[in-house]
Amino acid sequence: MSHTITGYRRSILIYTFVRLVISALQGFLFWYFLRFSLPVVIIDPLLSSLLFGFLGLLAWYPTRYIPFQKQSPLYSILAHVVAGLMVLTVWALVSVGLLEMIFSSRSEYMDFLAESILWRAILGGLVYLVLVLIYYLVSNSQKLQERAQKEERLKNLVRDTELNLLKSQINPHFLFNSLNSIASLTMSNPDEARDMIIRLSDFLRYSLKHRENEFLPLNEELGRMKDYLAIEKIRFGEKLQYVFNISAECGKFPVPTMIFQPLFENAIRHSVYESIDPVTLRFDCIPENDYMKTVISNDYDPKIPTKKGTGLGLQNVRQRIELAYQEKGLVQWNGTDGVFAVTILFPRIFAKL
Amino acid sequence: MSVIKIILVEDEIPARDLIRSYLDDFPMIELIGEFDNGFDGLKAINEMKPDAVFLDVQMPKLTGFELLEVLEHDPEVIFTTAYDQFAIRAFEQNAVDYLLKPFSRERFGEALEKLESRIQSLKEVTNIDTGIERIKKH
Repeated sequence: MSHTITGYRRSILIYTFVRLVISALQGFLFWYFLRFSLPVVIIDPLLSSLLFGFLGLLAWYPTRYIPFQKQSPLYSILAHVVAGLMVLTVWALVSVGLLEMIFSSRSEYMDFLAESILWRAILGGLVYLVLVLIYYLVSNSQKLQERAQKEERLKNLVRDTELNLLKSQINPHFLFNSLNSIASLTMSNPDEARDMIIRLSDFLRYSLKHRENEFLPLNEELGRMKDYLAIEKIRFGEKLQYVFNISAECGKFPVPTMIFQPLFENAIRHSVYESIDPVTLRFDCIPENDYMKTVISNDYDPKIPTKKGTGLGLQNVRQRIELAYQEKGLVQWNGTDGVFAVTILFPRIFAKL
Repeated sequence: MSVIKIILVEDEIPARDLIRSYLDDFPMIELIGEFDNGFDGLKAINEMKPDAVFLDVQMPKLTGFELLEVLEHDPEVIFTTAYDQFAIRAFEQNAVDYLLKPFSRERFGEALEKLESRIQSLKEVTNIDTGIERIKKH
């Protein structure tokens, strides 16, 4: 923790200003009531006030290193009294000594100086007390601020961890079924088997590599999703159709990695896995006001009851988007007339990051 | 030994291709039908009364287990699936075997051997039963 006053430019200025105002006030009193000459009116207050100002800064150290709550109050008070007395003694001796040296020829002032030592000490003691109190208050609020910052950092950490957890996991059954398909293709169609292994590798590498909350251009993310769909097409043939309709502006727009994977997986699970008839998956992206709007839709049979686990993927995507953009309502879904659609609005402001 | 008639119920094209190709090594097995969903599979099994079924678990319309629940005919069952968590349930249904995808030709062969011996022993039991019946009648 830096010194309450010297640690901050603004505090030094304020502190010096206050000291100067006090000197001016003191000088005015000297001049008005005691009718001292100008050198005395200027030099006495300025010298004692500036010297006290310097010594007062030292009071910060006992405040800092004698934490009030940790030690018994008596011990702290005693420590401050000792420190205060030391500061006051040094201040009185040095300031009075210097003033005596400067003004030794003016006898009436010398008498006043001798009489005023006690008053100076009492006033100085009070100012010292006020300084100590200010130091305690400020260091306390600094501690609070530091704690708030620490909490903020912790919150960010928790948020990042949460995001990583929400990162979609590849369904292992997809993997095993794909490997089974490859095993079959090695006999019937080795070229297609090789192609499928490459697509599967690209898709897996992508999903494993991007563990951090990274953003990548939409086209790159969709490229991997197309690998995924191509693999599913090998498994299900003509039953799976997909259409991509992406406006030119969308291609380079950054999106969180693997954000569409759970949505495509959901779409496949509720259409191709459940239907005997051919189904169509659609992906559309168009700019809309301050957003890039993407819609993933699939045909589904509303008569089939939804199985358990449904909705978890959607909730995850919604949470991830809300955490990433700190805005609610960006992810919406609805199912009407046998078409289920998930809409995500990506704030365009983020494209410039 | 007579031919074993089987039906294949599996929704993935390459998975069906694989089993068909593995079956080439087993001339005493005759594949009499292939279906890509539980509903068509159910109808076919009830009508064609195969000796055994290769059954996937996750399929459109009816899962493998749902299919078994409503089946009238009672064939031997070999499950073929990528899910390992259904194994206990499968053996509770008296399944002959449980093949985890992807499986090797050798592993597939072992399943078919189990199937043959199961069918063989069932026939013997039936023969003994009919023998006992015949003796009782006399």
